[in-house]
Amino acid sequence: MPTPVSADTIGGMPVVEVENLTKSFPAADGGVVPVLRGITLQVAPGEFLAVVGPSGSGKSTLLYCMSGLEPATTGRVRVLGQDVGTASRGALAKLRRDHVGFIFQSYNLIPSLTARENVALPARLARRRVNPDDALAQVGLADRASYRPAALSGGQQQRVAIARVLAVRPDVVFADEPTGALDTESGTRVLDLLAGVARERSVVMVTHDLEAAARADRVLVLRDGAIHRELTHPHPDDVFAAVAGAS
Amino acid sequence: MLRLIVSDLTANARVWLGALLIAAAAATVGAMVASDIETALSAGGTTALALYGISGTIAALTVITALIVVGTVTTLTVTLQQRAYALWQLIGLTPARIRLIVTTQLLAVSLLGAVLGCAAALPILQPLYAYAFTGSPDLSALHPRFTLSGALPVILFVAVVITIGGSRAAGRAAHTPPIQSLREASLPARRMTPARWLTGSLAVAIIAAITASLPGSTSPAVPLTLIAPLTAGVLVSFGPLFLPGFVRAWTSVLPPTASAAWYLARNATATRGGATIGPLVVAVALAGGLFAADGASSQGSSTLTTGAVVLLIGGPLLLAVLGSVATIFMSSRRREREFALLVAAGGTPGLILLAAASEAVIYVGTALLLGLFSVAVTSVVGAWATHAWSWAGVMPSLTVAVASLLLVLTATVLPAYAGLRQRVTRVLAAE
Repeated sequence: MPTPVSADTIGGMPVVEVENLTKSFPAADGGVVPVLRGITLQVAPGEFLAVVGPSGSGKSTLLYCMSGLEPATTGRVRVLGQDVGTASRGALAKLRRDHVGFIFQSYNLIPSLTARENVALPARLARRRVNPDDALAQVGLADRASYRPAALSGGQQQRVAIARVLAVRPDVVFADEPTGALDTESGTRVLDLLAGVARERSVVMVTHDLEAAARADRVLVLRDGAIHRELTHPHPDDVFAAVAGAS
Repeated sequence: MLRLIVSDLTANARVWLGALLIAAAAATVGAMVASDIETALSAGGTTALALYGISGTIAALTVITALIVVGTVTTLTVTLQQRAYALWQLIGLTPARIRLIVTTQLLAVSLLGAVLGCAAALPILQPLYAYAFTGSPDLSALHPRFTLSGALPVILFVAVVITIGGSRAAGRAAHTPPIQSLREASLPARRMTPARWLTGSLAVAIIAAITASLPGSTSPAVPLTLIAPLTAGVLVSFGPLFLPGFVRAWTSVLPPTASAAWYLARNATATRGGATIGPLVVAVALAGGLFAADGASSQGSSTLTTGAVVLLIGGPLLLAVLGSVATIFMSSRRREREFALLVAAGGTPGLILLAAASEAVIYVGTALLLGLFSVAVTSVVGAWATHAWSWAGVMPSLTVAVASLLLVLTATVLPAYAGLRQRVTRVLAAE
């Protein structure tokens, strides 16, 4: 089994490679529901990739398969050279701990921990030392470090989730609808932060927000579990047109 | 409305099953007390006098335990569903209507549980009499009676304690602004309420009254036995004032950098552990308090047999430990979400199981410390009243703590193990 290496040391080698990925779920009638149909793609170091498409097109499932949270039905997914389909639970845990960051729509902060403790959590799991206060300062929440999630607004909680990613400096960040539950102002702020993250490492973001998608280096438009269009440095109007064509 | 009541009971089966279990357990224990009284009434003579004395002690211990355990579980039942009540408010249900629905649910579940609990007691009573009264041929030969007239007060007591306790919590939940409930990912912090102040103060007053009555008493054992569970009641009532700090203080014996699992368990327990720790404190106090009281009053010549211990505190002890396990079972969905997040953040299965086990150790460790304090109060009062110091409460307290740890470990680790087999993405999906 190949040992994962940092994207910094692999030059142009893709951070994420997906080959002929399919994913099906069992249906209530005993059959299967195909969600992803033969997807192949690569994510380069430092690339900001957005995945858009109509509801049910398989965006979130693709993200979860790419990150190893969901096993593929067939095909192969490699993250930093490591095949996540064949890796043991322990190896996957180490890969996530040391090289991967997640940002979810529903924030998913641990309610019993303060903002500072939530930010430091992945590093604590990896037995690494980080400065959570620096990361919180970067997202403008230095004065909220000792607050628990229940005392923070949705936008603030999502910024804590981004600070958690910033603190451990992973090679790739997977973001699932990171602005989905936020108002416009908070959403813009979160996107600015994500764009900043993408300057130093790869970001894969699933979103319904087409203006947000247009800030990415590349946009994949999914339709019925397959890649319908691929746009590079698109104008927002091009993204709108591509998604309209996929609906 | 009937459809909403039934669909909500089904959708939140895990929470309501916990409440049903506790209602049934409380009724089973109550049935034993009621049976003692009924049997005494039919037996008459000196046998009746002996049974009245025993049933009085059991009734007092049962009522103290039931009020603490049932109150805790019922409040948790309602609090865990605060999010659903917020959604009900958003679709136009008034707080009064929500309170009515929840009260109806509580009444239905408590009545069903109480009936099941009384039915479950029927086959237990005869073997219990035979075992508990082994040393007394007259009492062990008795045929225990437990008729409908004995069962009705038990069913009524269980239903009233659960419904009134839950209805107050439902009133608070129904009046919480829905957006606040929907935003809060965690259970609201336990706060001091007027009921807690009142209950705690009342328990302190009863302890003071018992203590004042002890000098010169010819049979101090029974009143002394009540002091430890009452002290536990004081600690549980005033828990929100000191429990989070107390948990953080004693768990700091292991530095935060030493173990990520301990660190996670420590924070989780300090924040939301009160509901689980309370019943465990009562369990430790019941066992230790009984032996400490016996040690002080018998001055070294203990008359407690195993049968007597089972008869006096077996039921309340069972209720307390079941109550603790039920709170863990009821809130396991929230725990699953935290474990899924840990998996996503790179936590290994070993770390998650270790965190679950650490949580159990912290629950029981905290309960043991507070329970031993309650036992120590009994020993001090006993020494003051009888001029005899007794350490007899220590070993029973430790024994109950070890037995509870096995059950609580099962309740925390097994769901964690099952959670590891679930799809992380499904657990973490936006609600």
